[in-house]
Amino acid sequence: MKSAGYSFLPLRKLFMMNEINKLISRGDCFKLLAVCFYEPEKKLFTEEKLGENLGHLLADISFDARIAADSMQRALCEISQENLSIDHASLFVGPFELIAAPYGSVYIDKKRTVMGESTLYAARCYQEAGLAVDIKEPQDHIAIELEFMYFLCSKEAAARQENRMEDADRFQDLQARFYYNAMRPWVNEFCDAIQAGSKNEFYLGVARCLDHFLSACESVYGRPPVTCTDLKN
Amino acid sequence: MKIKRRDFLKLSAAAGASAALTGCVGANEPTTNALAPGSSNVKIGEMPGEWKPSTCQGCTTWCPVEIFVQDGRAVKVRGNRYSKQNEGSVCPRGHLSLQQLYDPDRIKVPMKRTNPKKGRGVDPKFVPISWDEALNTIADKMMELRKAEETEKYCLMRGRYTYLRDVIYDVMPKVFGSPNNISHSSTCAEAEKFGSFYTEGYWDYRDYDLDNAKYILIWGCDPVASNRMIPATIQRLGDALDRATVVAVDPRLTTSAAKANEWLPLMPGSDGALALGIAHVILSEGLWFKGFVGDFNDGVNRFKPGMEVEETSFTEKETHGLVKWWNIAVKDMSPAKAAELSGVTEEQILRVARGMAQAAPNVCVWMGPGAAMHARGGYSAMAVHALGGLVGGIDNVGGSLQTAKIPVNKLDKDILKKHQDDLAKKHSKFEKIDQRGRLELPVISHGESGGGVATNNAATGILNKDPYDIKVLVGYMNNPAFSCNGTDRWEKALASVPFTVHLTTNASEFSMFADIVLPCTVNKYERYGFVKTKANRYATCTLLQPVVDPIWDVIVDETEFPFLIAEKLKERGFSNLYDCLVEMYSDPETGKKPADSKEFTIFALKYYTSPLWDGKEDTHGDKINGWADMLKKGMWNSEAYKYKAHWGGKFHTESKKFEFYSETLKKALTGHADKHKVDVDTVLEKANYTAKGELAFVPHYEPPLRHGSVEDYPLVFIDYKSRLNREGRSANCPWYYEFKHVDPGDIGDQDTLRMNPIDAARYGIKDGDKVLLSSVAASGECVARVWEGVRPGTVSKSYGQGHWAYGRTATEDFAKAKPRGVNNNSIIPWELERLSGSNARNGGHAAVRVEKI
Repeated sequence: MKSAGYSFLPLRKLFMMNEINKLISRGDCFKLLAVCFYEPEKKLFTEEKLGENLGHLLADISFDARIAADSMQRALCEISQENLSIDHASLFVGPFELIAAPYGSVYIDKKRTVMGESTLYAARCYQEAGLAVDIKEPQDHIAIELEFMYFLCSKEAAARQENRMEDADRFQDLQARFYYNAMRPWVNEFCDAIQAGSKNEFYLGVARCLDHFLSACESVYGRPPVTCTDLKN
Repeated sequence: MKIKRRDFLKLSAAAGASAALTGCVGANEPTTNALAPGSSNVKIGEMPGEWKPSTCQGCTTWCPVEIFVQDGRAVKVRGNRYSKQNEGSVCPRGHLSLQQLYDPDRIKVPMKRTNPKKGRGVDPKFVPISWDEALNTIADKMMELRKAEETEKYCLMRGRYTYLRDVIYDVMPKVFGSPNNISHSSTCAEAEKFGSFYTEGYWDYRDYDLDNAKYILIWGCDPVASNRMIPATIQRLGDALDRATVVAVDPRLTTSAAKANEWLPLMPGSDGALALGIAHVILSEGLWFKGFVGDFNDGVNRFKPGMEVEETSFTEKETHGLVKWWNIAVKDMSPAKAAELSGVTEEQILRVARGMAQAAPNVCVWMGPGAAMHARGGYSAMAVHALGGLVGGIDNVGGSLQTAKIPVNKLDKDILKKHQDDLAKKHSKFEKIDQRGRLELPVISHGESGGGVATNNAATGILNKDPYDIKVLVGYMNNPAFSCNGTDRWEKALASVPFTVHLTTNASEFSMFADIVLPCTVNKYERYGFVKTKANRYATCTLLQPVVDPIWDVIVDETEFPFLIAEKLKERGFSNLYDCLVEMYSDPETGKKPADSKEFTIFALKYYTSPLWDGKEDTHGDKINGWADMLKKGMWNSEAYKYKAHWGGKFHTESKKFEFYSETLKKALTGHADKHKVDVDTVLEKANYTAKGELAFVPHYEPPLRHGSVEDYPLVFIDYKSRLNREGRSANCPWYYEFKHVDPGDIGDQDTLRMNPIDAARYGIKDGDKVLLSSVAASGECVARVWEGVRPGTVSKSYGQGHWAYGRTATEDFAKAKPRGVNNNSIIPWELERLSGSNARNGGHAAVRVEKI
């Protein structure tokens, strides 16, 4: 600790801490956006400042996403629990036609099907990270995919804090692969479907927020990776 | 899909910050909600798949199948390798079902309506609820009926089923105290069964010995596309054409007709006349099969056109009443007259009659719903089936057959009765809501007044609250507001019911009127059950098995729903249903009582099928070594059906013979008339028929009923079933539209109305025109196809499209209740065949006009 580099280390550490906190914030964005696709609980969302926290987290990531989060927050104050539930159901649950099917394969596999090849891709990514889906939904449900990205960000952050760089790089690599191979191919179209099919300001805000946030993440994940978790490997 | 823990909404602690101080969750261990640590040694995508047995219920063939499962996903379908019916093959429906299983629009969780207003185009505004809330709400509604002593106001409506139906259809309503278990059976083909019952005493679909037939007369169905033995027929029709003459009688050019040697495009509803015309030729030319029918005492044919014959001059063998039939109905139906009434040429009538006789007795007369499901179709069904009798093709080599026995257990009626309290005993005998057995609605199934079901009339009873109002309605695997003709009546009826539950895979028109919808399994892939079926002389018991884990939180409608409700009723002080279920369906191997609804389903299946695998008795079929072997094979085949099993006076008719003069029908009609203190003529008049006197007891021609004047509605509408219809449940599958052209004359991705070029020219319609199809009941848009494969004066369109409430693919615009195409059952006016209780959907009562839009 008495070496010539002593005065340099805190700065580097500070930089690293800043990067890790950005990573944690990004992970939390993924997580809070995942929350938005569960059955809405107005009281819980309000008490836990869902929109406010999301807006705060997005401040340094995407201006447009932050504006959308603010509109979510305002809408949440005004819309009744019943209307939130009705609109959430008609968008993402049914029982009739799903206005915005929340499953990747519906968009990627092109046959309006769940449990497609692309669903297996998501499942395989989870398996690679030592995870499995613990709810009765296909593995490529938007909420699960967003949660997975949060998980990876969180694990990468922990690894970097503990200086386990190999682990950290592995989690980062999986993030990039999942982002480009599992999420980017469909989430934009999914957000468009919400915007075209709903008048609920909360969910319109969620769609804009998710769309802008994911676009902003391109700057983090760089160019699409060549390698991917290929089922035929 | 709920958030399990509040922590999931909390922000993670920043790097270097203390989670305890900030109130944030730590970064080291992410708080997950949908994901959990998984430990599998099997890498997804690297393990080989496995063929697993189950049963396809895409049509009434009920094929034993195998499904290829890889990574927990169903990916391919084939026939069960052990099946002696389909010999390892399936029809297109088998493959189409994969899109049913993986339909994103399926119901995923229990839901309740939040908008109390019910009606077409009124959004119910469903929201998810827990299973507990759903079941508690239903149980509370049922207990209200118990407390008010009006248990008859509970009504169960059944759609497609497995034989585990006993639990939801018999035990549940009867122990609860309701007579109202309304099946959908008369939607399909009860009038067809009427034809075989009142001639040969067999109330069922027939089997057909295609391998040995020398003449196959297909009448009012398309066996390679629909009816009861599709894969077997697809495999055999080609060989049959090398060996036999194949003739198709149908107003439209079916797939079978396209391959047949001859096509007889009759006018809808004229089937009785055409059949009698053929009979007239066979009899007047002395061509009947004497080994079955018998002969004149002196061997001289006295059947002269228009002349009566002395009954004592003829001695019958396996039949009864031939001479009476001739005298009452046949003698005056010359081929010329039959040609005039049916629109089929006299030459064809002569050629077919002579051809059949030449091939006798190896003649299949394959009678389908098109010959029977008319407002006055009971007698035409008898007339067509009687042709088989004339040529000896009944219960005989190369003819129509009955079935070998399938030795499974039956519901234990003693246990059921033991658990019925006084209220249940009394109220379960009340009149049923479909009004069966009333003077104008004889429904003489199996010879008994009110002995069957009049599904379509349940709408009348519910709407008019006659004999009483229905307060709790439960429907499963059904959608009468789409599948029964006269849909407007159903919509009004369902809107009038205060509390309705729909158990289903997909929300549909029926769900629009439901207060609670409950997600159910897709039968072929996600549940246990069993069905009984037959083809190629083999009777089969085949199991449905959960070959994949259900994706969503679904239950088995027929067993889990009754069990779960029984538990809730028990909590509320009415334990009879629970007690009955656990006593009746304990494990037959161990005696263990079922602990939960899943175990209950398996025990119920074991109870019914145990005689096939427990080794106690000779099953006269495949040897199955225990329950595990039964599950592994997935099915049981009988020995081959023995020909002539009912010859020698063993037909289940009053005379014990094949009846051309139906003593069985006479007894049934007389019984019904006596019950209402009227004569048989009055019964027939009230039931929409024209026959008087002795004509009531023989196969004969009835002029078709018509809704709509010839001036306003000049064309006759023909409804048929697409070869891609999976019992009305494939409408949300994209492949259904993509491959619709597999129906002759159809075009993919449109709802096609076929019209003969002669009519097209007359009404100014061109191929591809958008047209408005109208009847006295409704109008709708479809696309015209100008095509020779439909006889002039008629237009045809396949049933299946026109949903205004369903999934994304089936409905044009759900929010606006805009259908994709037009539902045939809206166009076809509400009507019944009243002797069997059937929905009248063929036979010409639906008159229409077609206008270019």
